[in-house]
Order: sequence, then C-alpha cells, then structure tokens
Amino acid sequence: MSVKFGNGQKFDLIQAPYGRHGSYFYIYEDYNLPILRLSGFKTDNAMQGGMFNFDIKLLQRAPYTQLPREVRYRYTADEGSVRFQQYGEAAGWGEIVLTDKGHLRIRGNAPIEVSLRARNAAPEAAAAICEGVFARDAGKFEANFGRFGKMFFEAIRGSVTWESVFDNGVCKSFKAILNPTDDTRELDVGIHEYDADTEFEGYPNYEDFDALIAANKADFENFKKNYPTAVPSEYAETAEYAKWLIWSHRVKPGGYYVTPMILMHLQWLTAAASWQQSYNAMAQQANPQEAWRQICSLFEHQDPATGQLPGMLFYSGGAGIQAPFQGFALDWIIKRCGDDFLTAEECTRMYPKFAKWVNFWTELKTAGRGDDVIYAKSPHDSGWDDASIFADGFPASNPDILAFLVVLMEMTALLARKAGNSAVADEFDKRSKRLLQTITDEFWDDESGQFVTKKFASQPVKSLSLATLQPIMLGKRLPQSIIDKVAANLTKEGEWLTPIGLASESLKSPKLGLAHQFTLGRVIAPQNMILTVGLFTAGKEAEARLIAERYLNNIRDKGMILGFSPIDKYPDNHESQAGEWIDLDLPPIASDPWPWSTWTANCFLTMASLM
Amino acid sequence: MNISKLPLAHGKASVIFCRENGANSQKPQGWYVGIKPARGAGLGFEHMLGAAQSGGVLQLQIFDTSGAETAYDVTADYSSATITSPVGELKIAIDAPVNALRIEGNVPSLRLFKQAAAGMGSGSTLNLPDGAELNSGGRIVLKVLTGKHTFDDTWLIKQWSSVPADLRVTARNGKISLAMFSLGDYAAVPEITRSIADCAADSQADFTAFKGKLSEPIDETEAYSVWAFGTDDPFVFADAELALETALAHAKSSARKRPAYAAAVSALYVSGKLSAAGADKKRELISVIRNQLNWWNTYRFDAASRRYFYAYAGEYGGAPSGDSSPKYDTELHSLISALDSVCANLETEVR
Repeated sequence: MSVKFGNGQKFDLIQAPYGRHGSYFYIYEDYNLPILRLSGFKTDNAMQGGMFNFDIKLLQRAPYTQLPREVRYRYTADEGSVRFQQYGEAAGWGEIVLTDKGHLRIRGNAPIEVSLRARNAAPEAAAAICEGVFARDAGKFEANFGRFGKMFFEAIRGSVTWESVFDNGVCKSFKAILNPTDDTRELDVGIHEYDADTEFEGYPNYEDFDALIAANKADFENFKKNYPTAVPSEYAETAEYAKWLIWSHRVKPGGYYVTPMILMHLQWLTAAASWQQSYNAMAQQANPQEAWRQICSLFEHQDPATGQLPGMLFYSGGAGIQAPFQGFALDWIIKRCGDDFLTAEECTRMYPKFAKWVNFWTELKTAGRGDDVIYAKSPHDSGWDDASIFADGFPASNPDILAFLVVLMEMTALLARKAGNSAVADEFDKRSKRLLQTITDEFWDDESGQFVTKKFASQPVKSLSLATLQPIMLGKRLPQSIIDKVAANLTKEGEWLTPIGLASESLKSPKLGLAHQFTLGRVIAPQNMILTVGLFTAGKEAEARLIAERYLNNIRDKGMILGFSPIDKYPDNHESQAGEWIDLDLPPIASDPWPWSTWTANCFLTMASLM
Repeated sequence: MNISKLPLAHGKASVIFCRENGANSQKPQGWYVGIKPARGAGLGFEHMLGAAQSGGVLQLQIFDTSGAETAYDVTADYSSATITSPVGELKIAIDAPVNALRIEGNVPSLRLFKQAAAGMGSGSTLNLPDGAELNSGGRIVLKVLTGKHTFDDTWLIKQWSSVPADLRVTARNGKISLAMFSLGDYAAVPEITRSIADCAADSQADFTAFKGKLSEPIDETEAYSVWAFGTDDPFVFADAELALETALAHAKSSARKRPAYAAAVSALYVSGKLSAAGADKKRELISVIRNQLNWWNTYRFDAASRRYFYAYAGEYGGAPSGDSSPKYDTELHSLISALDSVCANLETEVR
C-alpha cells in the first residue's frame, strides 16, 4: 500500500509537510497560495519566524514575448516523489525526489524557479537571510543563507542560474532558475544543503532519478516492517499514513543526533522529544529490537554527572527535561512481544543508565522526605505544560510522574536481573513497590476517584485534569478498587470522555482552555494512548477499546492533528468564558489549524493495536 | 568607580549589580541585581523554559517604615557598592566562591522584583522557606539570611509562567541580609560562611592580584573591566598565559573570517610572550590556527593565480551584495603568511 497526496485530497500537503527519512529538506503546500514550498528543519523552527522558505514555481514561456511566466499547477505525491503538473493543455511538469544524502533532485520539462520568501517577514525582508552567492565554477553555484546554512545548485541536465538583488547589504530577492535543455527540454538539477560552517565537497556520481524514487519506496516499505500488519480495516488507510508520517520525520545521525530519532514536527517544534522516542517505540511491536533501540536513543545523551536525559533534541543541541517515560514504554513492549530481545549484553549495558536516570529524579529532584517522592519545579517535568494539576504552583509532587518512576524502577530491576546483578535488581524492585504504596496511600483520593497532586508533597491541589487519572498506567499493579474507580471515571460521558476521546481536562471544569492551550481540555494523543494502554493492562479491555475507538475514528476522519477541541463553546460554568465560542487562529503553515504531528501518528498506531 | 557605567561584578562570578537605563522596555530605569550577559545563542526553548536571564534581572526598591518607596543613591568602588537612603544603608558585595551577590543593611524593607508582566514561557518560581527560586533559562536562588520575606509564586496556567517575581523582605531587629545565587539547575544552594566585609576584601584582593598580570600602564577602570568581564585584546596582559588565552579565544572566534588576529599573534610572538607560555597552550593555539589555514588553502585559494580570496562579504566584514565572483585581497595573503610563520616557529618550540 502507498500513501497518496494531492491538492484537495484527504492527505494534502497543507496539513502535514512532505518529508523523507534522512532528508533535512521538506516540502509543503502554501496555506494561502496554490504553490509548493521548500524548507529545511535543521535551523528553521517555525516558531522562530520561518525565514528559510522557498517558493517552487513552474514557469512557461509566454507566447509572443518569450519571457517566462509563472503558471498554476496541481501536485500529486507518494513516498517516492512529488510531481507537479501544469493546469490546462500545456504539458509543463516538474518532479522532486528527496534523498537521505543531503540533497534533493528536481527534474522536469519546463523552467522551474526556486525563490526565497520568508513566511512571516514583511515583503521587503522576505529574502534577508541570503548573504550572497559564490560561483566558483561555471554552471553551478553556492548560495549562503547565514546561520540557516548553504545550498549548492548543480545541473545534471539543463542549466541552473540565479538572480539576486541586494540593497545596502540586505538581500531583497534571491531566486534560482532551473532551465531545461533547448533541444530535448530536459531538466535535472541537484540541490544540496549543508551547515553554515561546512563546505560542499562535490557529488561526482548522481544516481538515476527513478532509482532514487524506488529507493525511497523501498526505504518506506522496510520501515513499515516495524509495525504489526494486522489493523482493523476501517483504520488501514490511516495507519498507512501514520507510518508514512513517522518515517518522513525520522532523522538520520547528524548534528546532535547520534542515532535515528523521530521528530515531533518538521515545521513547528523541530525536535526529537525525549518521551516521544518512547511512545514511538510503543507502536513498533513487530520489531522489538528497533523499539528497544528507540527507547535507548535518549541515553546516548545522558548527562554522565547527573544522569539527566535531555527533554528536547534539536539538530544543534539538546536541553530541558521530560517525564521518565522509558520504563512504561519498555514494559509495554515486553507485554506485547516478550523479552527475548533483551540480551544479557544489552541489559548489562543499559541497567546502569536506567538506574542513573531513576536516581536523577529521586536525588536531584527529591522532595526531601527521605523517600523517592519527587518535586516538579515546572510543568515540563511532567509533559503537561498547562495542566490544572499545577494550579497552585511549585514545587509539586504529582502522581503521574511518580507512576512513571514506579515502572522505570521496575524495569531497571528487570534489566539488572537479566544482567546478573541481583543486588541492584532487588534494590530497585523494593523501591518500586515502596513508591507504588506511597502513591496509593498518600496520592489517591477515594472519594473523587482521582489521584491528587500535592504542593510541597503535602497540600492537595484541586484539579479536574486528566492527569489525575493517568496513574492507571500502572495497570494491575494498582488495587482493583482503584482500577474500578478510575475506569468508571474515564467512561462517564460528559466529564473526561467525549465523542472523540478523552479530554485533557474534564468538560465540567471551570478552567477549560481549548483554543491555545495544550492540556487544559483538548483531546491529545499521548494522554489517550497512556490511559487506554493503562486500562488495557489493568484488565479493563472493553473500556480501553471504547475510548480508543472514539479517538481512532476522529483521527481517521479529521487527520493526525496535535489536539482537538471536543466542544464548540465553553460551558456555562466556565470561570471566565462561559458560553463563548472557541475560536482558533489560522497559522499560514502546514496545520489544520493545529499542526499535524507524529505524536498523534504513533499513538494512533499503538491504540489501533488494542482493537 | 562609576557604577552607572560599569556594573559591580567579579571575574570569577556571574552575578552583578547594575543600572538599567530604561532602553529595554521590560526593564525600567533603575538599579538591578542581575547576571552577566550570556554568550552564545539559545536553542529556541524560550517559549518553554523561559529566556535566559541576562543583565539586570530584579529591580531593587527600598521602603520606609510606612511602606512608602524611598529614593536612594549608589556609590561604588571596585569591590563593593553602598546604597544610601534617608531610611538606612545597604552594602553590596560579591561572594565569588559561591557565586552570590550579597546585600546587607539596616533599611526597614526592600523589594526585588521584575517589572514586566509575565510573558508566555517566562519560567516558574518557587516560594521557599528562606526565600525564593526563579527558573527561567537558568536558576536564581534568593536566600533571605536576616529578615522576614513574602513571595508570590502564583502559577498562571494558561501562560506557562509564574507571576512576575516579587520578593519583599522586612528587617528583623533592624537588619536585613540576603544573597542572590546563580546556580546550575540541580546544584545545592551553598552555605553563606563569610561576612560581607570579607567578600569585599576578597574581591579587592583578587582584583589587585589580577592587575599585576596586566601590561603597564593601564587605566584602573579598564583594568577592572578586563578583570570583571574579559577582553579580546591579548596585549592587555603582561602574563604570557593570559595573553595566549586571549589570543586563542580570538583565534577560535575567527573561523571562516579574515584573520585579523594575525597581527596581534605575530606581535605577541615577537614580544616573546607566546614562547613564554606553556607547551600545551601553544599546541592548542597551533592546532586552531592550522585548522584555519587548512581551510583557507583548501577552499579559498585559487591555484591558477596563486591568490587567496573571499567568497562572501561576511568573510571580510563587508556588506553582502549580488557580486558572486571571488574577491582577491593581497593583505589576506600577508595575514595568512604571518600566521603560518608563527605556527612554524611555535611548532619548533614544542617539538
């Protein structure tokens, strides 16, 4: 099966950009104009202005004047290439193939213009990042875009020229024009991208264009083998698209990345997020070795002194922190695939790193009680950036992080035991059980059926966040009475359960935030995945499937969007916006209006595997 | 010292006491505790972690016993600052070993606060039993040593930020004392063991010792600036190691650019200062320069005409233009030759 894209199709390129595993380039359809755009994720974070963006224009020679003019085109694409075709009787076309070798190729039969136009800048500053062009050899040239890197244009067939206008040291326009040969009307150009502080060493042996297309298709087919093929038929097409989305966001080693990782977005947050590598792994149930590699990928960047794993990894570096998801992901893979993939050698390699990650939390983020209860000083520690569990501020001890630690300790013990270190294994087993007891003794409110965050580990925070039910991820480790109450809460209509899945804040909460907030009500992928997996492993399979079906149906119908508002208007009990419409901004990049994301794709696949 | 122009700072600490002139709309004119300006670019996490603190961070206000704000004057030497007001005095010094700014005196109350409304992602704050913590692209801990404090740590859920930091300290038994630390994310808060007078004396002693490593003659204020904030000019230093360190820093920042530092390095070699430095540092300097020379020889040398050239205006500090041809420069050849000569001589020394 192949994923098909095209203008106005279910999967167009307004909604999620077009990429390729191992390519730093990506292509998307402009939100306002009927053209494709080219960009790269290494340095151009959409949240930083969108300076490194190019229009892709198809030109035709106007009759009588013979001057080239821009023509309208339609596009189609699959994982192999993107093709664009002139409307009407004239037969101008172009085709772009992305590669994992630092360049893309464009071929066609008509002139093609690649012109710099920043997304957010005023027109007079739209090309400001161009710092010059250097043409050392005839027929090829390098364009310098400052900190955004360089591009080298080389014609294999046809020719490539450029035009630029500078005024007082500022570039006003830059365009590369790719021209077909006069006799055969063939054009084939390589466009290479590389870092600002590197040089192009040449590319002597350009591959056959069609071979590159075939290689892309083969690479995607190979990647799909990581995922179970059995998917309910109603989700088959969406599952295929989800796999493509993940594959197209997979980066190769380079820059700060030392092993392949999956970016959250190509345009918005162009980072490999720590916990997302784990939930990407959870979907890869047909290849537990790859899932394990993905889980372990963050440990390549573990701080040797503190044990911290960085929360976000960009091409240029990493920082921050996110919840300790790795144990939960490993536990899931073992439950689905067995643990044969955990060789003694791998366990020996990894249990000290897992232990160090546990101890980072329990020693450097300790609540100072003499046990393993931690303090979060920021919502980003938990991943729920604007959740109401932090309504009373910091430091907060929130049981969702504690639950992750319980499983992380248990998995550390498992790894240590398989490595032959029973002393370490016993220690972490004991700590895991003790922390679990602490959660149920101190952080569970039986009356409300919720887990409770506590400021200073002692002052309960009133909250209707979905995060208060997240420790269901502990599955059968929890007492049955708690499992039953959480399951009941999660399946009560009109509270957290909505027609499209679980809302991150109860619909009865006066604090709902559904326009620009992440986890204050929107139905988001990771929480739905964590909780349905938790219910499933707790023996509440029917409840898990009920919720998963609603979530999966919505994604199938609406797309791989970061999060959805489950309602159109704020309820009457809202603290500040009672009865108001929930209006959303329309950003001019691939989005809908919230962007499409791999975190939805991998969570979709995990939840589909429950059905 | 004119503290309006140069902050109170220390060469071995990042904390400062400074005046903001109001050019930054988020920092109205006034006196601030703060952090030396950061070097290097961020990773774009500001919307989540908060922007790194730099320059003045928290403005200082003093109040009388009725709670009314009181004007004050600030005078300083190179080791401490004194705040004089109708309601009392404050002394400020830097406790370098623990990277803390110390404030102590007898005013009735004071306030350290951020003026600006919380923006998206301005970071989180904590109200501690003995002060407050600010986490915004870095960590600042305010520890109240003497006095009673209040601090609002309200978290604004929808803005991913706490309310702007606002610490108020009231004197206890007529005394106020606090410390502002700049710390790593997970570093323990150090103990305060020294008096503020000892901190000032230590700063003076460190500065005096540093002046001994400088070339003569040098203005006192310039010497302080070099000690507190560093310099790009290696000739400031009589000390060979410091001179080489500065030259090395300059060389490292000159990759892919006109090697303007070549003249300084050549002169340093002629003066004997490079030769007087340790072998390891010399090898490091050689390595940096040789890498750069290799780049010029590989990517910016026209073998046909045997000339070096620039590909881009940015390489020689010019304004970008539409001219895509190489720019030949005979002076570039001289600079590269000079560096090659220095390297060859140093390589002989370290062999």
